[in-house]
Amino acid sequence: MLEVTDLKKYYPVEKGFLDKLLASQKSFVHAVDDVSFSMNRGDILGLVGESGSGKSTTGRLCLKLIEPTSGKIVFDGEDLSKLSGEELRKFRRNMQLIFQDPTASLSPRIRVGEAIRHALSFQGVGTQDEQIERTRAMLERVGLTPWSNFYDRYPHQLSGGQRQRVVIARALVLNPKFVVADEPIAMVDVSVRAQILELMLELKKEFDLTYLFITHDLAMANYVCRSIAIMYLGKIVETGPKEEVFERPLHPYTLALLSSIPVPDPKAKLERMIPKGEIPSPINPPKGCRFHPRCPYAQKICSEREPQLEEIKPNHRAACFFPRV
Amino acid sequence: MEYHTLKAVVKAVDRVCLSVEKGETLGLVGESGCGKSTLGLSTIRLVSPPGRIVSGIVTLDGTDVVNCSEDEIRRVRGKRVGYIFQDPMTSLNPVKNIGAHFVEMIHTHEPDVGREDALKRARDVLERLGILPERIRDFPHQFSGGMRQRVMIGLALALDPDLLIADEPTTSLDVIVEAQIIELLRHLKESLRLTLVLITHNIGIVAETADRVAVMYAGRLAELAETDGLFERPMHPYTQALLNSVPNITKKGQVLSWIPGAPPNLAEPPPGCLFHPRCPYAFDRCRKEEPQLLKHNGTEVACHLYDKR
Repeated sequence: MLEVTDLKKYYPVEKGFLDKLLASQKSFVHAVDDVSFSMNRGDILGLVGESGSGKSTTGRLCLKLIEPTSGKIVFDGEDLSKLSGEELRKFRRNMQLIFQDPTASLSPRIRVGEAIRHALSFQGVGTQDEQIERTRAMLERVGLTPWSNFYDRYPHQLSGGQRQRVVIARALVLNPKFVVADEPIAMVDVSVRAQILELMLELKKEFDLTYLFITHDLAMANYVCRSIAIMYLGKIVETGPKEEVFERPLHPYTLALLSSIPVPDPKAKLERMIPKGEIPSPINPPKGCRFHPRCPYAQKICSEREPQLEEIKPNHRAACFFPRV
Repeated sequence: MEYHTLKAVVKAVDRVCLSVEKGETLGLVGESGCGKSTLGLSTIRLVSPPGRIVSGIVTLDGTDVVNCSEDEIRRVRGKRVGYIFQDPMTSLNPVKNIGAHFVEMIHTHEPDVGREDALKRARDVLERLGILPERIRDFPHQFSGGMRQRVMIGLALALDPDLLIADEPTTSLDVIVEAQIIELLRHLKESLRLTLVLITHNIGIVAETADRVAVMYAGRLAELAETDGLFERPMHPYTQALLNSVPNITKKGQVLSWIPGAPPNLAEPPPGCLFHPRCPYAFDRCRKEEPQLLKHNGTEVACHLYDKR
């Protein structure tokens, strides 16, 4: 249902007056660089990476919330780049975003019931009474029961977990097909995170949803997703079914990520492979493989040529000259 | 420790009683708002108004931290207790280079040390933490997040403190950098025989670094135990539920659970045990009487389930 091909997003770097005069070339932040993937109806794809890897930008590009520099996004046979204005607005009913920070994405001055209803009125769905009816049902569906206790509340009167339920209700009230969830539990207390995830999984079944789940938390991605795409510096470096990627990782970067997770079990002493240094600047990403300066297995070719994402095992692809098979 | 606001008195930390032995790493865990940072700050009297320490004793190798004079507490801060703050960007001065941070810190406590000697000491500390000594002339914004956190650790260690308190030292960092910093802290702990209090909400980090763990809920100690014991046989229903809510990537087919409801508003705390509205085992006594921290097979736990009186 979603087909993303060679997606690119470059942001120009603003320079001072003198630099503009003297510099011969413009420089760009390569936020997303040649990303391709596809999703079928009912998939839960986890887009995993560190901050600055381009995962959120990719999510927003998929919803056309930002314009890509180049590349193609086809949603249910519809090329998103051809849509604009009123058409795009109507089309957005099919695809929604669950934001990371429920405090920032809900207006402090709008009662939460109204915030949800606005999504319906903005899309011109039903009469006002029907909208209110649907909002009430949605509040109850996300566990804010009875609705009468919540409809007229302001966001600050709710707990973090309840606010995130409101954000989920607002995204789902339009009955979308595709939902991008950008770190949906990062701001929620540890003890209620699993409950929010469980709710999202239930709603997926009930509404026949497709999720693009953006997260930096590998353990969470492992719990929720069916397939995984690992991003590093604007590129997908490895993708495949969850079990394959997490249990038999091919790319050294995936291996590094996996061995860096703190395991909540003092008896589980894992073999560590922690790379030195930090994610480099996306303005001048390293030549060749972008991970090579930090990679313990790097050879000469890695700094010269850029590896392409290739199928190494069935359905399991990695962009590496020396995958860990 | 109470916060006095116009509306109510918030007991942010209430009747917490614990000790840290020399050379030990104590993990202080809990969710946001449970009072773990307030407890950390209280130990060097850094809580600012409207917060104040209402009663209690904090002693550091015999020094009474709560009742000593301003001069004395200043000698404790930095010199005897190193503190690593949560956000390395807001804890470093953006208009001073890294060297100046060290010089100021060392001068405050050891006025006889010359500028050159202080800088030399700074270079030694930085080198031990994996930062090139010549970067001492650089400013905070020229460092990456992980490097900045290393500088913070360096500042906390510069005066060779007896106790190091690290408040969420890796929260703003990515997972690989987080692992680097945790490795560094573990290495330092062994090579310098540091006494470390690690405040965090990350159960995984505690499992990997702490010798003992203190679990806090709503300003109280729920459970205090050896790390292995706590993860093997968590006693307090809150600890049990908390451990069951954390995903573990090494476990297959894990089923996560959660705790219904939300932590109580400490301006209007419920009667009895503060956890009882969310506790699956709560009975009559839990709603009326607050449980005391009692010892059971080496674990200290505040729960009526284990109190057979």
